[in-house]
Amino acid sequence: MAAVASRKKGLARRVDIIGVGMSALGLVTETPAMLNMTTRELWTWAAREAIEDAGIAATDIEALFVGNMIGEYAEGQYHLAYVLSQWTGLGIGEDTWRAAVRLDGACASSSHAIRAAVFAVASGAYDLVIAGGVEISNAIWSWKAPGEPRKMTNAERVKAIYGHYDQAWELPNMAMLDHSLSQWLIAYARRYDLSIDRLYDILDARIVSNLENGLRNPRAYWRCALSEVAAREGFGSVREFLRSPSHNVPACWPIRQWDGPRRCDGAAALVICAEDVSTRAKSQPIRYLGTGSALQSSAVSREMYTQPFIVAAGAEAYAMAGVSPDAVDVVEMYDYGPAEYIIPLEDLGVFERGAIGDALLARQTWYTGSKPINPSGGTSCGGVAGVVGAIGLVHLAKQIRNQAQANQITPAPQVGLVYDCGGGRDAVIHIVSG
Amino acid sequence: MEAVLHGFYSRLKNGNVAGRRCRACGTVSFPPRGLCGRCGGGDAEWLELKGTGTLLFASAGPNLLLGKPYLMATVALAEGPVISGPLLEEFDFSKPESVWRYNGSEMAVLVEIAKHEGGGPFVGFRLASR
Repeated sequence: MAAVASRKKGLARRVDIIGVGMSALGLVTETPAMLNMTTRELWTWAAREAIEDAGIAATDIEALFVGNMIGEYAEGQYHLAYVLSQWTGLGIGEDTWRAAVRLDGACASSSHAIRAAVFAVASGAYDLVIAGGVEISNAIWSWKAPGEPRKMTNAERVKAIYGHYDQAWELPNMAMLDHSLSQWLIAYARRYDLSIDRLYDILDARIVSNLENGLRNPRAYWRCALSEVAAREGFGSVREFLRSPSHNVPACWPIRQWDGPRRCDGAAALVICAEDVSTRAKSQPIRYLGTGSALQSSAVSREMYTQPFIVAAGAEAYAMAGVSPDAVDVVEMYDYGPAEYIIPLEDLGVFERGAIGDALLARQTWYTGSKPINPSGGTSCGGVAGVVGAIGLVHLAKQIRNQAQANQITPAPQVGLVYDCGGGRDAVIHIVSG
Repeated sequence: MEAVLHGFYSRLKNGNVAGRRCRACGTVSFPPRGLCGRCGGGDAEWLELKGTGTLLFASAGPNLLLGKPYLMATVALAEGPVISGPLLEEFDFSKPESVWRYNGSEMAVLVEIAKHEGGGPFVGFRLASR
């Protein structure tokens, strides 16, 4: 049977994304547009936008695939998809609703749901489905007070989020992800003989790149003019601000507060269909070319500056898509910090090995640059754990269709790649084209 | 099939750090798993680790579970697996950048069973020569 794994893989028929949508991003306990919402309203918001973008009716949809990570903790709701099928209008008769399933892959939950949806359509089981993700990871409510989310405490968040760890090994033995990711960076710096100062130049340039891109993204949760923040705090430059331990507080060395994500709640949805159905779509279809996924145990490896599971996931996706890394015009990625930006971009061949620092400092990663990374602003401008992959695909669809706004890449990109990752060790890649 | 986790932690409580060795291909899994990831074999035996390894990388920072900082090491065990866990060495966390010296050093480490405060045992590491 060994020969089976080496056979060429592909989608059994062509699959398109014909509708994309997302909710506002923010905090359901604070953000006015989404105040007191639950996963149901956020998902419905995203799904409705995607359905309208596709120009179809909700009742045309044959199945629902939703990624969700910590619904049990945030809402006491693990059987979420059957609720969302009802909320999304997937009716097929009196109080009867279309098939729906929730998938979990930690932060990559939405990407796993999208893969499942693509496979369902490619197999011929369905012609038209909806997929994506929804997550409330900053608020909590229960059946005792429906629709009254309150802010999640830090202890509650740790309990909920730490379900992504191997409970039998990593938690009792304290093999913690933030440390693993620090070691990715330290290993990278050692591999390319970077001084600590040079490493910080690269880390700072990533923050600036993401924030400059996100500043122009009207859908970003957090639009931050960093130079204004620095000036307001009395610093002469962004560099001085980012190097100040009092304003950029150290976390797990060398990572600092501003290297991390801006956590928020939200949802994103895609209408996915067979190629022959997409001719009926209102908006320009986006072709889903291929996907890959591979895992690691504790987000560590022998060399650490490269992660074999990311290389494997990329190889699978490129082979299925039939494109080379050179063909990728734009990347949206799960960058929960600089390690999960630098290492994947080089492991996926988007940049040559050791080249990301120069690329960042030369602003190649800006939406105006030669290889835009995170034109949305990435997780620096809004990180919804469990939904990052779906949000990335929504942004790429807008870019490819030339519908992004102030952050539109010109000319519009043709081929886009999403790198998503659950818990730093569950990589999912999507490759799409116009 | 046997209760592998129970077997692992029972051994740990008794002072033995044990992995599983595949009887078909000899690959050692640590921490223990079900089927062999190299050959797929399902017939494995317990193997007490030599308790030695090489320090590949280390990091210094918070442990949100315990609410205090710690050092984490990534170690290549003598039997092959690369794993991570606490490095049980004194460290000045006000100078976290000094963790740099542990990285790429390939220092020899010893596996040590430590205990959570009031809790169960866990697997940590110490430098072999101090």
